[in-house]
Amino acid sequence: MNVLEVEQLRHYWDDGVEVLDIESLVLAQGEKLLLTGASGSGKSTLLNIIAGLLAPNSGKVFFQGELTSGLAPSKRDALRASQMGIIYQQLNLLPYLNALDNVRTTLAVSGRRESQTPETLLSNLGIDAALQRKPVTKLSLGQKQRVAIARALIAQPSLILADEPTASLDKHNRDNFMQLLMAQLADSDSALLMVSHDPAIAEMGFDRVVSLAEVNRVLA
Amino acid sequence: MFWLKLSWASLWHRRAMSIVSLLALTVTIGLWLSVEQVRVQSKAHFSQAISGTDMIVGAKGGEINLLLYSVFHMGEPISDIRWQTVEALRERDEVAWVVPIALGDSHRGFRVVGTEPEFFQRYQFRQGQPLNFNVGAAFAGVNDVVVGAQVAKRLGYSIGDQLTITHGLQAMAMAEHDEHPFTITGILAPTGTPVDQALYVSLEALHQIHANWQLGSMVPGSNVLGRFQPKTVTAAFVGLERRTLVFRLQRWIQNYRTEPIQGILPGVALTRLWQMHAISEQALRLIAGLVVLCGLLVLLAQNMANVLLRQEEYRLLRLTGMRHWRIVLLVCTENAMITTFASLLSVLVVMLVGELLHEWVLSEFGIWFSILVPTLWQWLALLGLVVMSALLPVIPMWQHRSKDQHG
Repeated sequence: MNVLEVEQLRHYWDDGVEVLDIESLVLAQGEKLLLTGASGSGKSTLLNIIAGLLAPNSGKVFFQGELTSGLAPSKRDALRASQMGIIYQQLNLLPYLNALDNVRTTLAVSGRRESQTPETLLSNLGIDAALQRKPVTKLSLGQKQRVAIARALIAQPSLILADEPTASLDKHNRDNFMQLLMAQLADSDSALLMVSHDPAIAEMGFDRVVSLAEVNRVLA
Repeated sequence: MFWLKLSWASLWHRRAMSIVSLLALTVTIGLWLSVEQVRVQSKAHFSQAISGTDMIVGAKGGEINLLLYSVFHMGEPISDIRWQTVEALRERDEVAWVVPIALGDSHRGFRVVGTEPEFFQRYQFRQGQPLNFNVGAAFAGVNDVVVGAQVAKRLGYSIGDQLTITHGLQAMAMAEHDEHPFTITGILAPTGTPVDQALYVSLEALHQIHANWQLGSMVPGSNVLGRFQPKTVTAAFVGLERRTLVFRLQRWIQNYRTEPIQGILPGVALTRLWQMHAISEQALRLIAGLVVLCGLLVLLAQNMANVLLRQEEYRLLRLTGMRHWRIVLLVCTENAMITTFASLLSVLVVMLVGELLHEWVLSEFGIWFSILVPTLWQWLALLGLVVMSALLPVIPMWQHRSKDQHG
């Protein structure tokens, strides 16, 4: 079964410049897809549309067979909260919460029950009890990224969207991050759609690697 | 519980601004509570000036006027009543006790009240509290005087000090009854009533000094000694055997033919008198309301500014999938928290200040007030304030939503 289907998607910037023209993009359940492309090629815009944060100008987005691009904003919010986990390049952790509460926020918003407690998941990702209770502003970049992974995974989402999560990392930290993410996803049914301009991560366990230029006719 | 924690964490993250808001609201609510308490306490202070007296009898005229000059020592009596009337009252079956008072003299701006020693047992205030002596005792002779707490404090009197009283209410040297000095035998404990601002001598003493006084100046060589029976007094405080007898006594007073007299019920007259001052009560209420309105407007302005300042925070919350109404609810909860803390802090501060100043205000200014625990109505008003403040962010947050790219 496909988790995600994008059909005839078109989107324009406010100034009328077309940024996305995608005929079709499909992601199967549990599939790990890397979408590569240069900066400014519309990768983040595509993820925002899939996440329901942005409404496309035309086209359809199906999530688990349900048309989501026409849903009301509140329903898209609910869908994102309950079915999607998102990892951003800027991580977007709530600065006034500690690591543990950042993860708990996702659970509270989604209303879903966790398969493992936030404490356990964070511990598995190398964030010990003391670090879990530290404000995220006091954590290192690597530690924040692990918290971001935990936050995306805790509600067992069907789809994880990762928007250039390794863009600001050096090679060592990038590899660590990818290993941790893939290790956590190995035992789950969650699909992963990661976008990146870094072709080096293509060898890190993805089922499929697609260049945005292949699917986005604007870039052709 | 998690949502409360989230609101608290957000408030704490912006603690400088939160503390400023808290202080601003505490001052606002504290001011409102203080004004409210002044209003409530003024009413109580006013209405509790006399208690335990079932009726005040005086010359026929306005009932408010009788109340003002007999209890509050304000204004001039229209006329006196005859001693014969006092005795007639004492003979009535309905009457348990009668304490006459005679006004007309003063001492350095304070009224002198001629009365009987029984006055100190019968006069009660604030729901039946009796008069107590700080030091000394009631007058026993024609040269004795008892002074109220404020008189003693302001004029620096103590037991054994001597004073003279002035004929009439104006402090003219020529009108001084200096041929009849009085010795202070008692100083009353503060009551927060007009009793504190008066001097008390025997009716006999007043008669003596006025018997030597003709046409506004002393007749040289005249003297009166021995017992006497006063011809007139200003009014009489009356206690009844049973309060239900009040109507019977009223009927008797209305049909009294010796002279025109009236009997007023102090509680009823006090209420009418307060109603005449309703405008000041309304003014105090208006001020209190405006103070609260100012506080709410400050909070609204801050909320409107926050909507712009906290865009990034709202964006992060939205990214987690949090719905817009939930974010609005979080901000409303923050407001409710600040207002609740500010309300409790205000109540605490007002009560603490009241507790600390209670004795001092009574002794310095003769104003009594109970410890300033908010009334039920004030608690409900505070609750309403919390709800109103909680609802304030709804409009700016909703406006923000319309500009949200998400729509």
